[in-house]
Amino acid sequence: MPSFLSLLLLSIILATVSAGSDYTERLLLRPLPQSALLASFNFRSNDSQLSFEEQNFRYFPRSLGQILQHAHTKELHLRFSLGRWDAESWGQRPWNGAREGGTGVELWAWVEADDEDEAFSRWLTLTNALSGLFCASLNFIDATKTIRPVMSFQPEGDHSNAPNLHLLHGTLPHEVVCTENLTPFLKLLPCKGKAGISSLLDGHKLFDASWQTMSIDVRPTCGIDGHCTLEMEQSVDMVLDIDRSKRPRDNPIPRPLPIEEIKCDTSKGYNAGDTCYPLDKSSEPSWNLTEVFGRSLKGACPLTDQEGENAETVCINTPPERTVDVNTTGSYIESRAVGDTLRCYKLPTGHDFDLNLPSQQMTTGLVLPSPPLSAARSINGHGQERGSIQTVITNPSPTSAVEFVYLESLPWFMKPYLHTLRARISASPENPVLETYYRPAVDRLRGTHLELRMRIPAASTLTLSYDFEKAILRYTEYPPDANRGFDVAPAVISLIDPAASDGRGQYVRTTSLLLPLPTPDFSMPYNVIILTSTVMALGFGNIFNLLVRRFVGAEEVVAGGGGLGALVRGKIDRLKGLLGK
Amino acid sequence: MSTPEGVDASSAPVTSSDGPGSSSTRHGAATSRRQPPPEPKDSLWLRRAVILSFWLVVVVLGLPVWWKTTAIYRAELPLQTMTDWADGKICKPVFPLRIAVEAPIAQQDAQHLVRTTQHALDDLNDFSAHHLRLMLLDPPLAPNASQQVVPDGSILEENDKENIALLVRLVSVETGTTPRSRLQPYSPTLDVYYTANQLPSPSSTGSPLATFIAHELHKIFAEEQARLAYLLSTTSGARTAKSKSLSAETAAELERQSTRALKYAPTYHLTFSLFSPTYLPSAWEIEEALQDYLSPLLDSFRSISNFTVDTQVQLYSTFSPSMRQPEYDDVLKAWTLRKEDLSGFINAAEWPLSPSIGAGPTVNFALYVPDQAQSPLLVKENGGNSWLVPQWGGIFILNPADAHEDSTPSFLAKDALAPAMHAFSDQLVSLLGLPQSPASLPLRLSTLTRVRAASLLFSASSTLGALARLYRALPSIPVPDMVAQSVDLTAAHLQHACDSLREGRFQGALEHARIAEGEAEKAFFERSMVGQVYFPDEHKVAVYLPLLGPVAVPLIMAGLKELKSMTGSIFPKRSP
Amino acid sequence: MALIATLLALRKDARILKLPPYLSAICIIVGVAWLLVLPLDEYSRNTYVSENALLPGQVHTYFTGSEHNIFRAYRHEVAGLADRSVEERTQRLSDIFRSSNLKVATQRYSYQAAGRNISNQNVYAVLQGPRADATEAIVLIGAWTNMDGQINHSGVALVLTLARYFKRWSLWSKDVIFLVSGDSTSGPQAWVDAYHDSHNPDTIESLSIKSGALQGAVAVDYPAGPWGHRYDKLHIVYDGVNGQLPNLDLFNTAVNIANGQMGISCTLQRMWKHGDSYQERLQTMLRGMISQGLGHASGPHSSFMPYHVDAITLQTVGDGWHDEMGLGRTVESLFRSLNNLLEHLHQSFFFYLLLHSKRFVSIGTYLPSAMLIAANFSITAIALWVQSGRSTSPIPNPASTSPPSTKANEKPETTMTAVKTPDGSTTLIPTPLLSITERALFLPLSFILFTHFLGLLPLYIFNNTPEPYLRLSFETTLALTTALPLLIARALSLFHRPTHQETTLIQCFSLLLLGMFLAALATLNFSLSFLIGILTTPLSFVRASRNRLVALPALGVLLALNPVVVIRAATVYWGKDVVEILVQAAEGWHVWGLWTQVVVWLVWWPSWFAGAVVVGSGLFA
Repeated sequence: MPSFLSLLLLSIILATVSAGSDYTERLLLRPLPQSALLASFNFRSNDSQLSFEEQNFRYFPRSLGQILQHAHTKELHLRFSLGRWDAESWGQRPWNGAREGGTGVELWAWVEADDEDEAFSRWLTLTNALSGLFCASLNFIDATKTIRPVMSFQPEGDHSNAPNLHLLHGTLPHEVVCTENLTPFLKLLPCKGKAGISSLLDGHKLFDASWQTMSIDVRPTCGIDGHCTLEMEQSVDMVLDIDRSKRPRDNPIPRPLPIEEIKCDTSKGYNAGDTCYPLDKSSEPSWNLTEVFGRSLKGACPLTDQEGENAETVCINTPPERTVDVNTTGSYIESRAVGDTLRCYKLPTGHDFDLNLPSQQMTTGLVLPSPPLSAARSINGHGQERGSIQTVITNPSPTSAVEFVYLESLPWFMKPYLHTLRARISASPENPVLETYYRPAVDRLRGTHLELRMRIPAASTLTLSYDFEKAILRYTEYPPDANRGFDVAPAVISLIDPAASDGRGQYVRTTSLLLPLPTPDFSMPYNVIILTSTVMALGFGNIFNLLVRRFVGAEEVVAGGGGLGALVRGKIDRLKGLLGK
Repeated sequence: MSTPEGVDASSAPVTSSDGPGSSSTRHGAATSRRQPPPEPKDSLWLRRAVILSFWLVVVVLGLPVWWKTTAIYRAELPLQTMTDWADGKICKPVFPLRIAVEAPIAQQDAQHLVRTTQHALDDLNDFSAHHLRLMLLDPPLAPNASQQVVPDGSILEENDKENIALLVRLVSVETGTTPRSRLQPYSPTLDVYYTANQLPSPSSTGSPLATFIAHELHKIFAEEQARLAYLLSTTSGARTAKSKSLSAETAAELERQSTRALKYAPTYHLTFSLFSPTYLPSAWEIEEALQDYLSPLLDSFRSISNFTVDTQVQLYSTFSPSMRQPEYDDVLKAWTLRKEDLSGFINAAEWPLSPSIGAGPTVNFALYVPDQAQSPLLVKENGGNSWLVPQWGGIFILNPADAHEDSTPSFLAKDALAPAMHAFSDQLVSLLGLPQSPASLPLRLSTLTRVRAASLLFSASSTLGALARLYRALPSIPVPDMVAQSVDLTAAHLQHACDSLREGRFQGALEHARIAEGEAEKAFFERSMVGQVYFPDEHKVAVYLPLLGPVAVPLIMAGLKELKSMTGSIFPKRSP
Repeated sequence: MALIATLLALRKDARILKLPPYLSAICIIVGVAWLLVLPLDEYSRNTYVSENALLPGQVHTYFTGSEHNIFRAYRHEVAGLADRSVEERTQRLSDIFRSSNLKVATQRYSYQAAGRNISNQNVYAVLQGPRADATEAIVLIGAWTNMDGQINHSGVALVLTLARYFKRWSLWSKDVIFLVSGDSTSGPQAWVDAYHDSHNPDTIESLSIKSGALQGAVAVDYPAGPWGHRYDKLHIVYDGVNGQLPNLDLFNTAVNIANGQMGISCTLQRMWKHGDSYQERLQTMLRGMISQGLGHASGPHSSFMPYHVDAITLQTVGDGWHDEMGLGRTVESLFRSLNNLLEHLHQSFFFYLLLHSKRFVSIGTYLPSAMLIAANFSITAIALWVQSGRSTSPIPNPASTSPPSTKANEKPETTMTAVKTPDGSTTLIPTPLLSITERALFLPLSFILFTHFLGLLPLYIFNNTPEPYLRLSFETTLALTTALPLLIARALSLFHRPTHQETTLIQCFSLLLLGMFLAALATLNFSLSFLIGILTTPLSFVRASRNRLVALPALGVLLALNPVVVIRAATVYWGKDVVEILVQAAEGWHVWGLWTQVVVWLVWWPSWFAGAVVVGSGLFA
């Protein structure tokens, strides 16, 4: 089980790099099954708390620093995510899920304030400023999308000197993460994508990935001597489909290959010139950094340490037998760790660096650690009025039970019935819910906030379900694409693990949901006004007439019948009278 | 009314052969046609009451409610006052400067001297709005400074002490050319050295000393007068009338200065950035440098504005591709930038020079350390290495001191930063619009105070005028109460500012003008005012027409019918 | 106001009662005529795509070249599985899907209907779109066997090939689900039920993999064997269960792509040749109405409609020169269009009648015809109600300008009542006008109630009889329903002869209900309402009369229009086996949630029964 070890060590290594130096960065590459490649970039920069407060920024970006000071934010976590992590074939999430967010944008921060209102107003300043900085519509995180989790998130930083902190959390599941979010992200780095591993980050490839998440974490860390530093960690994790990203940008269309290039199964009886059963290729595909990332790695970022652990900025995690050729004109140092499954490279400064992996028939593969939990959430039922949500959480481990906190943040127009909340464990009658925190929604003011502390026995499945009712919005509250449905933020599952290696915790997030609401025909209101007014007018006319009309007995009426005839006759008579005069 | 019943009823007797009760009916029906019996009075009045009540409800209740609920709220604004402010009808700013004279001589001589000097000064001054008043300060030996008779008889109160613009100290000397004067650089004091014989004799009306002092004073305040005059002339309104005429070149000079200077704000954010095309130098001793070279200047400015300072280091900041790259000049032995390229030197797209958060403008000072390959880097035309970007900040190219060394230093020490810091402080001074003369810093600051106060006053009032015009031009925009409140506040503070100007309390004037300006801006840029600018009243009526029309028609018809019948009953028409 | 007074005055006028039959007749005639003019250019419209995001046929399709070779190989694979067991088939299909890196899952299901046990397995694979966030999905269906029971060789092979081909694209902003269902009706039903978690977990397996909300579904029906077969046209099937229809935009997009981009001409409702003439349009529309009225599942897509998922089936027909790749490219282009969708399909019509692949009538235009038919029953019902309230003795109409009739001569004097008006004068009014005749409601109401409950009996029988006994039960029902009205009438006449008023009331209530039901039904399933309305028109004209010359023909007509008889006749006409139909209906009842038979047995049959009894009672009076 060397690779599993390696991963543990890896996480430790990556966790401990921050200690000494002011700026470190590291890229971990790990080929995954189905010709996928996990690339997780990590950048850390430290500035002393003192110079931060004096607004003398060196590695810490000034723009972000000023925002944090202005909003009195002590710890910040910002996530941009896209796509899904395929746990069953890719195994455990990078960073144990601690550095990723739900689909779209997720933001949570510890804000220093005297009371809740002040905290919220500062939170609004924070979101507005950040939306300007990252070209994301973070400013749409309003009161209805903001919750104050009580169990799910723990501060990573050292807040001994900040007494009254408020944790606020907001998500934008509908936000589409795209290239314009990457550019400001890179600008925050000291080496700005001009040198170091950040020079590999290219918008086109990043957002063509099967799964990618960008994260920014700011936290204060204090040493024993009381000397505090502000640590900012930026990380980009992405899973690239090697075949797809190897396509040149000028010709991205996956045209069918010429038949010669397809390996056919000749053992089939019907195999012929025009009939070909394709064999799935068993060998590892060949790739190198330049073609996979669409850019070349321009040497090391010189701000990192020149020797020691932190100098090795590129690591690749493969079975020992996999051949990895280094292609550079500069001088580099290769070092192997944890049973040769991890090879790290100290990059040359000022020279391009490239890793080249040829196509190869593998006999051994990496054993990927299985995730502690897997969760799937879906909306059931149909119709305009009500539905139900079902979450299936599985604990694959055959031995150990898992305790976790399940956090739901629902929009106000989705009204859950808590009495219908059911949590069942396959093959055991016990109730898995240990603790419940529920803050009901208030129409148009805040959303529902539900946190459940639960416990799954080993090798069993937990099914959580509850019904909800769909509210009918006001005419003006519908977005332009009302018929698409409304996005419901992913549920956050945070594991309560006493033996957590680092202070980050472990997280699993479900996918976001699409909630169809009853939508009116938007051309209606004017017609409705007219219709109702007409009806009212009719009623009015009738009543009014009844009230003011004079009734006379039938026999009192002009003889010779009333009606048209009489009318005409009367007119004629009057005419006669006139003429006679 | 309804056909069949009428038919049935009227012809019923025909079928019925017998029936006593019916005979009369039949007879009547057969012989004559008679009108329906006259309606009883009470039912008539009842009907009229019904119609009337309907009308009342509609007119008194319905229409007003409908109108009110669908109307756009517009707060009342004092339009006339606002326009008056804009036209300068209300406040004509004047700048009475108090100048104390301290003379170690006999009381009456001093008074005589002051009087004559005042006369000379008044003869020199051709700008009535800005006028200097001399007043005699008792010699320091005098016991009480509070009760003091000044030439024009007014009492010099204690609180006027700090409003004294300049103190003229007469010092009698025997040596050197006299009269001569010396302006102290760090206090608003003018020392005038004279010899006893230069004192005016009580009989004489003029004396060389008096004229000398007058000329000195006039010289000292010449630029301030020019600035104020320029300000008055540029702002529209009646006040241009008594502004003094400016020569073309002074006007141009002042124009240049005012365009270069930043708009006034209570707070400025100073950002000092170190840019380098490579990864060197990655550190600088900025805290200490700021401490030593900049803090004193900023402290002296505190009376006018506050400052926040932040610094950053930005590596790998290359020029924008659009800009023409520097080229080597063999004469200068240096890489040179063309003057016309200097505007594009800042790569706004790449370099993170975003304005700081919080109210007030950001002043950027960029320290650029060129790459070793391109060092030294100079401006081609004048060989200089620093320039000022109007209303934005300043740029300084720091060429490493020892160019023979093969690589740029990774760390910039304090003394290496000294030239840059000096350049930056000069640029800051001119960016803040501080006048060049006179030599004394306090005097220049107080001048700046007056100029700022005046400009704020004018801009605030013109904003009010603009708001009034907007209010009149767009009758369909909503105007919340906040706007009205802000307008009132603005007017009040403008008035205060104007008064304190007149009384010579310039600091207070600046305060009030500052508040007025802020309020005016707030009122003008109220967000909710642009809301439903495209929902005119015709639209509203059109939407509700389906209701109003059908309801109105029967009401009106019934009303007319009743009126007709009433008139008929009043003037009975002759039956044919 | 004046109008109301006039009506009040007219209420007791004898002439008013002569109108209703003519009114009803006019309603019926106009209603039918209305339907007949619809195919004319003036009343129908050309189809158009109103959802801008679809952009049909705007993309270039690349499904050619070596994909063809792979398709042939897969077709051989499928052919090889034809005679294997369900488990083997499922296993192999899953392997093929897995080999192209998709998430695969299977679902076994079993239904009990008419004594048959329908049990099979679905295989489906999910392609997680690189641009997708698991909120939306579109489905490509290839049923293992199509509606005619043939094995869908090329269809399934095409699904497999497309799955492999789609996986390479990175542009999917929705998940794509490839479903190979065990059969064409219950398989998709089981799958879509489980997908929305509205299934019965005992007999139907829950889905292990799910994706987002379904935005659309396209089924491919191409039963050409392992050596392929070139087809001539695409037959687009769009009817859903209970006559629900997919959004017209989906249909238009398919036609647009097949026609415009691929040059494959489209047809619908089995109109193999369509010259766009009046007759052909009318024929298409009528066929469409009949299949909508029957409300049966017409393809794998039908099961998706109840969940508001728009779906169609592309069926290859005829002998021509279009090959499988053409169909593949059509599907590719169609999916690219669906992939563009930003919102659920909502722009275009959900209620329409198609006359031609490029011509349609929208609900606003056709609805009045069915409404008129329904209205005629209500009118008759009202008339009968009024009539039932009149005393049988005739009322003289002094106002009649016509010379006094013979009847008037027979009894010249009418009883008169003197009435004193408040002002002292006195009027004479014929007594009958003043006399109030009360209606005996007990018998009619209970009878109507009884008949409608009686309808539950056949409903239950036909839905739950095992297949072998179906024919027997049908024939017996046929005989019984034919005889029952007469028996009932006779029985009634024995101990309690229904008075003329009671028969009138019975008819009145049954027609009232019928009118209401049909009007409501017209907005849901226009065709069904219209068909039943036409078939029950005689009910508003037959009356109970002692005159056998009138009664017997009426009875004859009614017996001919007995629902059971009609069904029998229909099966004979279309040459179908009645048992087959019944079995399908039972399956529909148990699997698809079909409620056509509810309408037949609880709306149509009771009204017919009431009418027949009324006529019969006339005979035995």
